[in-house]
Amino acid sequence: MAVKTVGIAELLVSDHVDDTLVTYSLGSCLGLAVWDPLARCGGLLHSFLPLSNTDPDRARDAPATFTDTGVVALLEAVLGLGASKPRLVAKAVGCANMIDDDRYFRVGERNYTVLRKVLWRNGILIAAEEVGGTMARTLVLHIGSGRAQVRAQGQRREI
Amino acid sequence: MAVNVLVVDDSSTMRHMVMRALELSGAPLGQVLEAANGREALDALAANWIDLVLTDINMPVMDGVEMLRAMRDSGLLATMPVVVISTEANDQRIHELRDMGVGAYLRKPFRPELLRATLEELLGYHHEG
Amino acid sequence: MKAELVQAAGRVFGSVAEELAFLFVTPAASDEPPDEPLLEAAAGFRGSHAGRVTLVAPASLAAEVAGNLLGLDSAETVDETQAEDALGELANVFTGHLATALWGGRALVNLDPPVVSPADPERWRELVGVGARVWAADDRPLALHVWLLQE
Repeated sequence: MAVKTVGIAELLVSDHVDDTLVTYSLGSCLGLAVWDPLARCGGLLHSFLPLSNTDPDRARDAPATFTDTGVVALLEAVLGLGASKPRLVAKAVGCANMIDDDRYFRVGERNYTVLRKVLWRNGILIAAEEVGGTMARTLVLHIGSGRAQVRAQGQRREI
Repeated sequence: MAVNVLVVDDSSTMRHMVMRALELSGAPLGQVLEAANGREALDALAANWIDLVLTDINMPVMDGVEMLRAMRDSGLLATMPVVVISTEANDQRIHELRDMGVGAYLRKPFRPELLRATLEELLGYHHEG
Repeated sequence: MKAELVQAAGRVFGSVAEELAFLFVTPAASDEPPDEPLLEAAAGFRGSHAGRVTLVAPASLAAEVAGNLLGLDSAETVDETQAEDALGELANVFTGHLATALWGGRALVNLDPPVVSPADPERWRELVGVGARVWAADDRPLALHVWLLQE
């Protein structure tokens, strides 16, 4: 079994059934897991900020930095492995209101809104989510089974 | 078995939004028809075999409550599920809708995921994922 | 508009615009109308409480609302009818939620169908003159006015 870490502002896709993708410290960031049960492939995104128009150069070089470009890049990458949009199972984690965040910017909530906008545009509904609140979370995706788990405050649960 | 649906709302944008959410819901869809008010909806119900109605309340010509009362009085309401999708928030009105036999009420703006869960329960299908 | 009403209207509008049309609403930097075609959406309500909501926005913003509601790509365009209809629906949903915010679930309010028509900068300034607040939705300005019939 290969455990592969997805860092902040990164995304990773896989079609190896023994792969497990994990991303840590999802505070206000968005963690998005997508998986195709037929093609048996999927991916994980850890995006940081909602909109790429604040820094188009960075969005071009590192699209996973922003939720709008990151979700699109994740979808393109997983479609490249043979996934199909209508079959994709999407699970969202994170988008919390972290205590030291500036409430004016509402980064977590805006990450979630942008996610919903991009998924709606792509005809994908959210199958499960654990978002909001004030805690940091870890998201794990098993490529072979599509099972996704959230870890927070010492607890672990399937979503 | 394919479900024929009638979508009722005076806003064409809302009708198309609901229809898109319907397509993504995984429900086994047959024909999807539209109506811009309660009067047009009753005409569509009289002329077509409909299995499910998704309707707004506040509409010109004939509103959703009057339409539902007509459906109840004719016995039609007892034969199919109805989901109200509306900005309506008056407790008494929502209570009246439930008493009439409305299957579910979604407040606008509604999440397409909630429509999917609602239809899965009302129609008894399950969408993977 | 009274200060509490302005606050409630801003809060509710921001929430509805984000939830319905994926728009981020912030206070605008200026009260001046933008230099582009404008649309006005007016939605009245009657019942236990009565009043009128008026929203004036660039036609391009109305088109964006329509595109977002319909889940369209940024490259896909909407026609004028769709844009007007979408702006009217935004005003309509906002009005329903404002009534709940102000008067709770006991308020029995009937919403009139929204009326959408072209507007000019003079109309914008007129509304601002009687207390409309100017907000920015995704950095595009819009003027929002709420009038309540005093009981």
